[in-house]
Amino acid sequence: MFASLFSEREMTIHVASSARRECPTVYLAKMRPYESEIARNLDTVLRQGCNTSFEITLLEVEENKQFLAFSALQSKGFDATMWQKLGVDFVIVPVLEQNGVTLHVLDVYTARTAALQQHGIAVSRGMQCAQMNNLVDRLFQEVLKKQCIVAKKILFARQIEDPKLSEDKWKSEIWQMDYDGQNQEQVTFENSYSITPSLIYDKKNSPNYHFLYVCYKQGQPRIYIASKKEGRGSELIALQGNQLLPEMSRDHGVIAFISDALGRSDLYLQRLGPNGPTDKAVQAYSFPKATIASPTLSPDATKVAFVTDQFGTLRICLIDAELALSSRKRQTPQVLTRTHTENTAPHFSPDGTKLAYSAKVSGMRQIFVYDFRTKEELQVTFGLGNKENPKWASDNMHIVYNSTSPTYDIFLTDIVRKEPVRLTQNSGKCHYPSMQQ
Amino acid sequence: MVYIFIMRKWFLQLLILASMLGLTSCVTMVAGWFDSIRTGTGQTLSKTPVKGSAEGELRQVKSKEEFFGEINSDVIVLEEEDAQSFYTDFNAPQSRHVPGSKNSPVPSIASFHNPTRDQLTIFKKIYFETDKYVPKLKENYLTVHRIAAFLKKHSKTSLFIEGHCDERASEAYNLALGTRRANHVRTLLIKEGIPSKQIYTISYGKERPEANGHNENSWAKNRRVTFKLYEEN
Repeated sequence: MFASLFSEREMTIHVASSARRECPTVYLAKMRPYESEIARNLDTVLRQGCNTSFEITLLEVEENKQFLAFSALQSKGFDATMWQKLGVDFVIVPVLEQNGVTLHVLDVYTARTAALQQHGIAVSRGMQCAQMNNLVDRLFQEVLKKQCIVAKKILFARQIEDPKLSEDKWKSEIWQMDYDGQNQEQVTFENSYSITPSLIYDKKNSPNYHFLYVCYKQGQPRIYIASKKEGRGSELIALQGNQLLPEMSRDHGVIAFISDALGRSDLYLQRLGPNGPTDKAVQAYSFPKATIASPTLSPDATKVAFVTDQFGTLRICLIDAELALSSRKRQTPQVLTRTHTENTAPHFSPDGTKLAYSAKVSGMRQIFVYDFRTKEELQVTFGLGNKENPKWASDNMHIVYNSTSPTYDIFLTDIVRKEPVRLTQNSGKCHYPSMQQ
Repeated sequence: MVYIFIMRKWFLQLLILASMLGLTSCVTMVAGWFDSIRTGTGQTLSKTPVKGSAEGELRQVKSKEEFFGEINSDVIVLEEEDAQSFYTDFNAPQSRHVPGSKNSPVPSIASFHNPTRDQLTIFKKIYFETDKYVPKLKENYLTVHRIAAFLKKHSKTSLFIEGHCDERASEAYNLALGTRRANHVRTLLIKEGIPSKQIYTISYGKERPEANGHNENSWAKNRRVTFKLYEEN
């Protein structure tokens, strides 16, 4: 069998001398054997997963490269110089066997080889996708040492309207899905109305992730914290009134949220310690007759951006979060976005250089990106239908968001190719996405 | 003589209150009241804080604590006076009791009910203009007045005010706008003398539209506050 040949690690490899490029070029061979439907499906998922990364250049499949990749392996010889002439840094050969899939990786520059294995192939298409995405994630982390979003989960709120029930019986729970929309699974079981999930940053990306959300189970919307395993959350902040739109800093030291504790919708910051909230919640920003919404914390938690209507139309503003926590003096906010109207739902990119938000252009709400370095506002989505609630993926390149017309569905797009992929369809009102970072 | 003494006492109380609020506060406070007048708040025409007693009479309050109930000590508030809602906007802080929580005398919303058929003549929906949280029509203020009268008679009845929005603004912003609408109506009721601990607010944003159309008629129906009641036994 072909794979058995490949499993031998001690191959003769002619190593090229020049340094590898910052954005390595990868040749992903067509899966062998390719004849079966399952092989073609797995191949598609693998290719799609690799293609999401902007940190590699994925070459198209070509017959001559395909032949070279496999014949080199079969003969236990690998001409790295030849691959370098072809502009390739890594060669990846996926092999489907009875006991699973193996990705054989050849590093043209270091002569190292690696074999990443997925034991067993699931029956369901969704789980097959998850298995391949995990393989791609391992490939990026262990071999390519690059970022990849394919193993990240997306949380979202799903509202189910049952026409047999009264208005008060509308339900909304928090769900999760894979980055490609596969394996949708209910996460909260509050039997109530839960919205605006916000994943808490976890460097290890534990499968039992934690998240914040807002639930109406007592009447007033309150902020809850839950883990994937629990299904039901615990109330986090004792502050009275409505608590809305929470976001926790990456260091878990502070939560930004909106509350009407003082009778209008203001921006609040709440310090957190190992055992939960410490000290009192801080009224971080308020302005007479203004409605404040959608706070988002910079990755280092030094800044907080939010929406305010105090300038007429909705604008996204920025204040110093540390100063807000230490001083009771109201800051003069820095207005960030000026080009379009109704700027809402800002979200800081993980590297802190950009802000995704929604703004109205030609009567439609579209997703934009504000770049702090250039101060430019880049439109990311186009066409009919309103789009809202953009949230960044960990690679600072992808954005997940939801449409609100004609249907409420979740989409994933990127800021370069700008080709949105629909992740949900015909399954209730899906909105407020949040992606693992 | 007695009359003069009462008048002098009333004037002194007014002076004390004015000094508490400060000159700037007074200006902004009046602006807040003016807003109510301009928009037709029939029962809040007075430019000095007055509060109805349980019997429905007007009396002078001596402090903001008396007006709004216990001032929130769970929050570190911005030092600017206009950020402290009891000045400029006359927005009343929320009651420290969270309905349904431990030690709260008020149960969760599951125990509240929609107005009965009889009550529907009092607890009418209040409607708003686009992106506004202050109702414009006089009939809305009459509704507030009738609700206040009902709550004065039924002091053991608690009220939930639910704020809703139409579909046009973004979802997240509408959640915040819904709180402003519900809180504004709550404040109007507190101005009419209803204790703050008797009234609670919820914002649903645009999560629960009443009309599902995508036209002005439907949007107008969805920009509303609605009411739920709970009668303590």
